[in-house]
Order: sequence, then structure tokens, then C-alpha cells
Amino acid sequence: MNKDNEQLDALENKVAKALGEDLKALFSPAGRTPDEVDRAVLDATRKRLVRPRRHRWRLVRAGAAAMAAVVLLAVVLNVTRDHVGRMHPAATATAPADIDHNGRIDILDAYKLARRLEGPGALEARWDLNADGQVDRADVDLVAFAAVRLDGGA
Amino acid sequence: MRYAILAAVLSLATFTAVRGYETRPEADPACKTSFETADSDDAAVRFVPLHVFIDSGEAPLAAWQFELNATSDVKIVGVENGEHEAFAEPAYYDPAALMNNRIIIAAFSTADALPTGRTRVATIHLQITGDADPDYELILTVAGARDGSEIPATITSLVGEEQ
Repeated sequence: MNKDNEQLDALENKVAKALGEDLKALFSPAGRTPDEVDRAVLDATRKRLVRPRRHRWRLVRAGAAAMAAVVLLAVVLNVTRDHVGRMHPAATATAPADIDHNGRIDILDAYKLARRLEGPGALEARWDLNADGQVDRADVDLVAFAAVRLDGGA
Repeated sequence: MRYAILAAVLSLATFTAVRGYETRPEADPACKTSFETADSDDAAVRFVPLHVFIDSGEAPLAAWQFELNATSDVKIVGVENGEHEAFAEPAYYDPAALMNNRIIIAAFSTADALPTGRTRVATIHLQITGDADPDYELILTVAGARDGSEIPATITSLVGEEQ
């Protein structure tokens, strides 16, 4: 019985010693890190830390570009809207619609142009308000619509 | 490239939001939801014709133009021609005046037979909210003779079916 116990103790000591050496090897410091590795890790860390700042600047630039695009879009829309407004018959004729040159556009301008259309006199090219190459009733209508515009045509 | 796409997307989103705001019904005072209309219709709404007359005296009336300004409880819903056949064609007015309380109306005629004296030149149909009489102002902008010269004239009006 004592002999068995001694054998077991010896075996236990052997295993414990091997385990201790293994654990020691596992957790002991792995020696000094080479300088090249240190520098590489440092560089990588700096790059990683600097990148978000660049990223932030890019976002700022993208935001500024978006704002500029919005402003540009607004300008284009306003110009387009203004252009569409001018396409309206009432808006096409403004100063040229002042047929009698009295400084205001009213129904008498349309009437006078209509009379000229029906009369024998020559028609002036400046009365072609819709620029379709001829002076006709459509131009008279333009003058009349300019006279009744609510936004200041008259 | 990614940022260009991002800028485009942001622009599109802003544009959509702005357009959505501009075109929403509340942005147009003339365009009310049924709920708002129901609320504001607690007061009675009625329709009355407003007959407009111009008296050019003995001078034949070849052209006329006047302006109607009414209070906010009055809305213009239609314009009818005058009584004289010389002005049988529809008068000129800005369609934007409809459902608003201001309108400029004008007409001319190159016909041989022109009205003289007091003649009804137009009938304006009004929608009035409330029981009060419509409050409005008529301004004769110009009246013209056959030769295109301006002539003195007076403008009057009458509310109701009688003329």
C-alpha cells in the first residue's frame, strides 16, 4: 500500500512539474518587442486615429457641396419659374404692349392695335409681341391680357 | 464619388421637402381642406350677381376697363358679358382673380354700333360669406371712344337680380 502511494506521489509530482513548466512558458513575457514592430504599430495607430478627422472633413465638404447644390437648385428653380411665368400670354408683353406710349398698359393699347390691324396702315414689327412673325389678333390679346394682369401688368 | 452621390441625395431630399411644403394644401389660402371649409362655413354662404354699368354719355363706348376690390368675405366666382352686342365677346380678365376678391376686367369693340349712355358692361358673380352686404370698390380705369381717345365716364353697380 505504501509502495502504491509512493508511486502515485511520484507520478503526481512529475505531472505537476510538467504542468508548471507549461504554464510558466505560456504566461512568461515573450521577450523584448523589436523596434520595427513598435514603429509599425505606432504608425498604424496614428493612421487609424487621424483617419476620422479626414473623414470628418470629407463629410463637411460633402455637406457644403450639398448646400451649394441646394442653392443652385433653388436659383435654377426660380429662374425656371420666372421663365414659365413669362411664357404666360399675359406676361409676355410688358413695355412693348404700351402701344400708344403713354406710360401705362391698358385696354386702349389693345384697342388701338386692333384698329391698326383692321385699318389700311402698315403694321410695325414691334407689335409682333409673341414673335411669331406676324402681327395679328394674338398680339392684341397679349396686350389686353397684360392690361388686366393682377400682378401689375396694367 | 461617394460624396458626390451623397450631395445629390441630400439635394434631392431637400428639394422634395421644399416642393412638398410649397404644394401642400395649407400653403394656398384659396385651397382649403374639407375640414377647414366645414369649419368656416358656419356662416352662411350665398351667391349674388353684381351688375356693373358704365355711362359714357353721348359718346360711343369703344373700350372700357375697371377694377373691383372687395373685402375678404367676398370671392369672385364668375364674369358674365355685358348687354350690348358690341361686347358680345368675353371680357379680358386674369383667371387668377377667380376665388379672390380683386379683379381687373376690360373689353373693347371695333364694331360700328357702339353703346352710348348707361350700359351694363359686365356682371360679376360673387360668393359672399355671412349675412352682411358685400363691401367692394369699383374703379373705372379708362373708357375709350371710337378713335381710341380717353373719354369721361362714370361707373356704377347694382347688386342682385334686378338690373
